[in-house]
Amino acid sequence: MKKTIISLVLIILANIAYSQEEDKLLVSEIKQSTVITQPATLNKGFFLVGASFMHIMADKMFSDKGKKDYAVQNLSLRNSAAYLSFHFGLTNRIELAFDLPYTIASISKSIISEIPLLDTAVTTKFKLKGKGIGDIEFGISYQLIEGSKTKPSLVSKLSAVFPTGEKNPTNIKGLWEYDYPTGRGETALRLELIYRKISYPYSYSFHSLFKYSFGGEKVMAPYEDPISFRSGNYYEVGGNFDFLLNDWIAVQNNLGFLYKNADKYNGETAQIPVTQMAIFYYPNINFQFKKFRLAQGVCIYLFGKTIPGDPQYQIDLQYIF
Amino acid sequence: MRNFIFLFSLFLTALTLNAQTNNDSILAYERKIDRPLTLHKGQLQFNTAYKISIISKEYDNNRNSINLADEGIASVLHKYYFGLNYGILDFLQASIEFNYAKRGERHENQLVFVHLNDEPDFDITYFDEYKGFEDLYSGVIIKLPLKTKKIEFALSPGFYIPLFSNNPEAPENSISFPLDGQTTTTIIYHNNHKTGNGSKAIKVGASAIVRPVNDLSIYAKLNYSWPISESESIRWVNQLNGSDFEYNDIPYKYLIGNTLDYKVNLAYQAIPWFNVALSYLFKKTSSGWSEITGLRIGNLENRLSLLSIGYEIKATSRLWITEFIDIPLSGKNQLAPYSIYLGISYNLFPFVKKLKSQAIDNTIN
Repeated sequence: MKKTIISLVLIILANIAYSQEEDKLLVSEIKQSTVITQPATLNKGFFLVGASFMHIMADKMFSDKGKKDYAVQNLSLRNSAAYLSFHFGLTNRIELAFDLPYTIASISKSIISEIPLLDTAVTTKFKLKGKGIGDIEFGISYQLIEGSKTKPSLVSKLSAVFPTGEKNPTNIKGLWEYDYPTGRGETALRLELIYRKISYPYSYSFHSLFKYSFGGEKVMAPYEDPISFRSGNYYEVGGNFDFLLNDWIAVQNNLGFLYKNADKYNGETAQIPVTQMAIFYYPNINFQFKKFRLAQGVCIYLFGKTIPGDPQYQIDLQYIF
Repeated sequence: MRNFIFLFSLFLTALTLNAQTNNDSILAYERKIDRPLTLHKGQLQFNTAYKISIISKEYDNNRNSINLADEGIASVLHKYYFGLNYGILDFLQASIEFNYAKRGERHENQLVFVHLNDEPDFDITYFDEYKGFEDLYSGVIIKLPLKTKKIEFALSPGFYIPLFSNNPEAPENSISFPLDGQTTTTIIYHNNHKTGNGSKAIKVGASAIVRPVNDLSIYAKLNYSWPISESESIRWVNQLNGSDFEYNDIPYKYLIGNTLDYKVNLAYQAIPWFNVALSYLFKKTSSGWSEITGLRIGNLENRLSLLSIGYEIKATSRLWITEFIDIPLSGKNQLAPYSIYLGISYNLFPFVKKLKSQAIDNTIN
């Protein structure tokens, strides 16, 4: 009997050991995981360095009635942002993140004012340009439910945004010509929950996000006194369906819904409060070259209210070591 | 042991031969720079692409660059490409191509102070919207029967057919009269335009590819197109009646110009599934006229040259992903778009069950 039990225990132990062995990957293999197969947070001791670039030219707008049309008059708004990201796996379940944004914004408009009585016409150029460091962000992610190849994961991410970017108009040459601020001018906290399940070669995930801004004081327009303000609360929910085309190319599909309350100025919402909402689709294609990852995508606003209606282009480059 | 090795070798050989009889093997082994100028016999290719162009500059008649953002008329062009190619024979390919484009051009805002008040009496916005399908292109590519793979030549005759009406839709002008306590009347002149030429035209073209070394190719193509006959379209005039605009269409005739374009492309096959390319493109349109103003006025000659940098990734043997950016170098009477192009090409052999292994060997080698 004793021999039978010992044999049984040995067989079970051997099986467990075998199972454990099967799930093991070399460190270099984990670092070369695709967005489909990568762990929910970085493994202990791993670094991720990333650079992202996004660009939008606001040509169209969704009105407050949800109708998408070209923006009125000839206001031209171009916004680009580049991010440097540093992520570190503190443990297999905790990841620390730091994002450093660099913003380039350009707003231009041209008006001809005609005074027939004086036989005069004056052209006024409205040129705002801004570039510089934006608001930096620190984040910590924790795997509430530790995922694996077969088990789903649940990650909570808490981020803090600090107003390091310029919040006021600078280099003022006139009412319509100054350097546009590159920062929001307020501290904010963001909480995100992400549930993800891998069914190789597919993965799907759901996420929810809430951002609370603490407000601050800033100059809204040249030659004006600073006023207190607070950005409205931001909510987002969405889902991802991702799949591998081959061992090193993944296609990601993110469908989401966002809602933002109106901003407040001196404790009051504006006369016409601007709440924003949108349903967006963000497909992207993701290439994995060993430890390098290159992703490109276009965020398309399918429906919205008081939000730019043009696609937003984004490119990301990441390296894990 | 010897028998086992012998049997195993036979098994492997059988597997290898079996794989070679699959049509996809042709595409799997073929790198971008090795692809012939025409598709393989029986190969069907679907092409679709999206291009976004930021139009913030324009070249004037003296080839000077004008910043449209400063003038308040910068715009964005969205263009969608659809194409279908089929290899009728190994040296004969049929092609169909049609594209859809959309762009809104907002002009300088005009404020008119009639009564010398602080607020303008009229706030006028001019807006031109361009959208629609371009003319359908249908053509063939005929490859010359040369025995070498180092160099290939092909001819590509074809024609453009305006499948959709080229008549622009009526304008969508609007007027808002001032409410109590306000003085400004707001007028928006919204004109619609089509993107197609609306003309039947013939195109002749020639292309060549040279592969001087294993990983490098130089490709060049030259096209010339001209209209078969003059065309007719309409222009709209409007009149304000109370608070409503009334529109009347006036027909006019026009003749599109002759177009010459060429492209030179230098491609490097970095690895079997990744190809980078640098291209120079030139396009010139001259002659032609239009009676849109009531008088027959010749079209201005326009030119544009672009530098293009991009890559192609062979995701699978059937699916190829292309991306490139266009940077305008110089031009004349032409918009100068900065563009990002993202295209997908899907390839299959739907009507060919099997190819002889000899044919595949010939293709691969």
